[in-house]
Amino acid sequence: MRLRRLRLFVSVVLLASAGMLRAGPPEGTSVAAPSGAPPPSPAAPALDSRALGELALEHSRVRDVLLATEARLSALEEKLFDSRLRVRLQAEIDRPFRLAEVALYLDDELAFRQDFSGSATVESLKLFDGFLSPGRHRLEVRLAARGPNDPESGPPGYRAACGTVVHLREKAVTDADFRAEGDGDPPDAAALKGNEPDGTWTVDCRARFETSSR
Amino acid sequence: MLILAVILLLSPPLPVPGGPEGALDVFLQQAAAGDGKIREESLQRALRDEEVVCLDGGSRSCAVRLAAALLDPRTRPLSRDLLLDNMRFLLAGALADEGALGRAREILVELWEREPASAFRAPALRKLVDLTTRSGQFEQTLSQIMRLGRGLASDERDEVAYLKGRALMRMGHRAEAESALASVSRTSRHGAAALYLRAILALESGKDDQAEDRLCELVRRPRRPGKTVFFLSAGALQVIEHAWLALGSIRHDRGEHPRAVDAFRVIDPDSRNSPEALYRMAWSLFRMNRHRQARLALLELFEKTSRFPHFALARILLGYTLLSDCRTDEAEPIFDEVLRQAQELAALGAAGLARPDDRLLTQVPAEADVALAFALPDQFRDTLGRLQWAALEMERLSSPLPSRAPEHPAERLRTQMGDEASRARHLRQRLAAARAALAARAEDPAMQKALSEFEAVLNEADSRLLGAQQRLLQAVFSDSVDPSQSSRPELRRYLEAEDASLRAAGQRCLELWQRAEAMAQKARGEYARAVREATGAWIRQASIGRIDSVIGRKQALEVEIQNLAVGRYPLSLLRELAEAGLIDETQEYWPYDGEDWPDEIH
Repeated sequence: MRLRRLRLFVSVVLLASAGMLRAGPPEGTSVAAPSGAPPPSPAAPALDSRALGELALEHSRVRDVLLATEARLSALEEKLFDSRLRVRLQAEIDRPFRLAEVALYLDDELAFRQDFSGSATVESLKLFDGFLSPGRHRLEVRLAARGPNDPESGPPGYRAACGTVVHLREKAVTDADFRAEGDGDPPDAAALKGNEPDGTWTVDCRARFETSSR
Repeated sequence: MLILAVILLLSPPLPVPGGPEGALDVFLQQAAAGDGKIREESLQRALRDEEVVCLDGGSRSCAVRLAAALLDPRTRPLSRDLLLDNMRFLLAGALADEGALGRAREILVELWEREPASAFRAPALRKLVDLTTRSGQFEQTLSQIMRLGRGLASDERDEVAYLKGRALMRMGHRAEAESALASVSRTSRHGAAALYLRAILALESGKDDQAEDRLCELVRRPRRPGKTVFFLSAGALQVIEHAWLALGSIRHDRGEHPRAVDAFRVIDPDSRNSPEALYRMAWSLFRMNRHRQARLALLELFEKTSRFPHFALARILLGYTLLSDCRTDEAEPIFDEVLRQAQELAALGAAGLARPDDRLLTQVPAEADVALAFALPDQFRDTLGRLQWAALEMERLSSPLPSRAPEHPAERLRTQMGDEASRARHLRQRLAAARAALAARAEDPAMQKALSEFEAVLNEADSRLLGAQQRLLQAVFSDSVDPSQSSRPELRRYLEAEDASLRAAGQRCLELWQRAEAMAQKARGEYARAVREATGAWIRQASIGRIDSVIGRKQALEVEIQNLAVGRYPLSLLRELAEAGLIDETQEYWPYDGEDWPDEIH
């Protein structure tokens, strides 16, 4: 009997220390080093919220300068060369995949990015419209999709990219069109519970461009 | 005279007033001199074209084209035209999406405070408030709003009061924030959010009853036959759901568990708040000793999502609902699983990844400051890339052959360094995965040491690579273009001014990037500590649950033995004995007659 009481007391103390007897969902309060993990590194200096806010503010100031520069360059290039580039995308991803993200890189730098939720098809998306210097420019379209068992919170896992080079001419409009068709058979929930899941993801991506003088 | 001419020729050109914009304006004015007045149709076409890009999400293209169109000197006489205001309004939204918040704010403030009033006055203020609450740059916006001389209309007063309330809340001035938020009308688009924030302020001040009253006021819907309820903003429903969650939690903490369950049940099963509501409801049901129903709520939660911030705690609760029903054999594997996963996550957290593993971020969400510190280096890298792109376009403009793309030896080096950085990131992820796999196994000091040595080498390589990338960019932004080669001598002043501005921005961005990397390093330390604390608690709780399972099983055995000792047979044992007493189908009962057959069983 005495042993049982002692055991009961120990159980209650342990439960209380773990937060299981509190009147609400437990909060992470205890600090115990997990076995197998490396020893904790020496405490890093605390993050300064104010300095972080200032850094974000400074970044927006640099972006002000960047966008103003890009606008001036565009205005000048329109006057000097009148060489315009328009980029469109048409994407059709078969179910059960869902289109999650579309991005365009112009000369390796991000020019367009849009997240999607739920849709599988993009009828016609205008990714870029602007004046650039004449000559060679690189374009790359990147697509990302989610399978039926992919969590919404994580990054999409099914990806494809295709690129082309366009050659802009003075006093001309270059229209670049990307067309992507995605298809495949991702593993379903039953296959994922088994030991030999398999799946396919196929994307047919075509790019074409044409130039018309003004 | 000759000497003066020589001095003028040799001296550098004088800076143009207004910087690159002023210099470009001179050129554009000269170019526009022969073009005549701008036609309304061409402005409308530009607006229509860019509206499509803007609506499709192309904020960069939209912002650049609209800003370029507004630079045209021919638009100046039309400065108060409705069409131009529309373009400015659209431009401000695109600039804000592109992170150029200062310029976006200037445009919106100008549209808002202009007299006579622009048609975009009210939308401009609303957009300004939205971009400020999203970016957290309250001080910058409020300082511009406060200098307004005219009186505010009632809708404007609500907008400004809400903004002030948010700013004061952030600064920790609760009483002042409460007073500002109280002045926001219930009919404003911020009415619901202001009331919710006031309830939170009351909760933080320990005034639970007041908080509950406010939350009840928020969730109460007027029911009048034949009347329709309109929500003034898309976020209002979200705020109302949060209010139900908060109400449920207040009631749970007071011990009013049935009422808490009622509040959590209101949340729509298809809502994104549904997992949180199910989790909290399971706790309330557990406290009411309705273990089966708590279990059902948890199973519904697991069916919905496996990525949930309280996933480990929900699993532990599931284990306890089973323990409470004496189902110790089913509870033990759940505690074992939580223990193993928590050890893996702890190892991932200690690995110091540049960007924490996605699974880890779902289980231990980063605080707002830590998340911002993680995101900033990438944002600076993106901006540096765009600045470099602009520098290359400048180089094309300055060259006698603009259609020929300039080649740089540094470009190949930059690509190689990018590849190396990517490989290093991948290697670090693999090391973290190896650590996570080792964490669940028995201690292996030799392997741990080997991994630590790998990590030390990788840390050293990372730091050298980052230094090299920064030195390379430093060199790129130190190198000026030579406008004297340009086929357009009239552009020389503009090119020089733009080049100076661009390089100054590049150097500044580089310096800020270094600071952002240092901040991210600190954030990694903070996040690792948060992971250690969270997973440490889970490990402890799961271990206790496991002990409870074992004790429970032993107690069941003990009870069985005691019953046997006093001659009471538990039902299970009676069943076993009954089965043992039956003879097999292949056997036959025969009274003993002393013949001793070889297959006889005594």
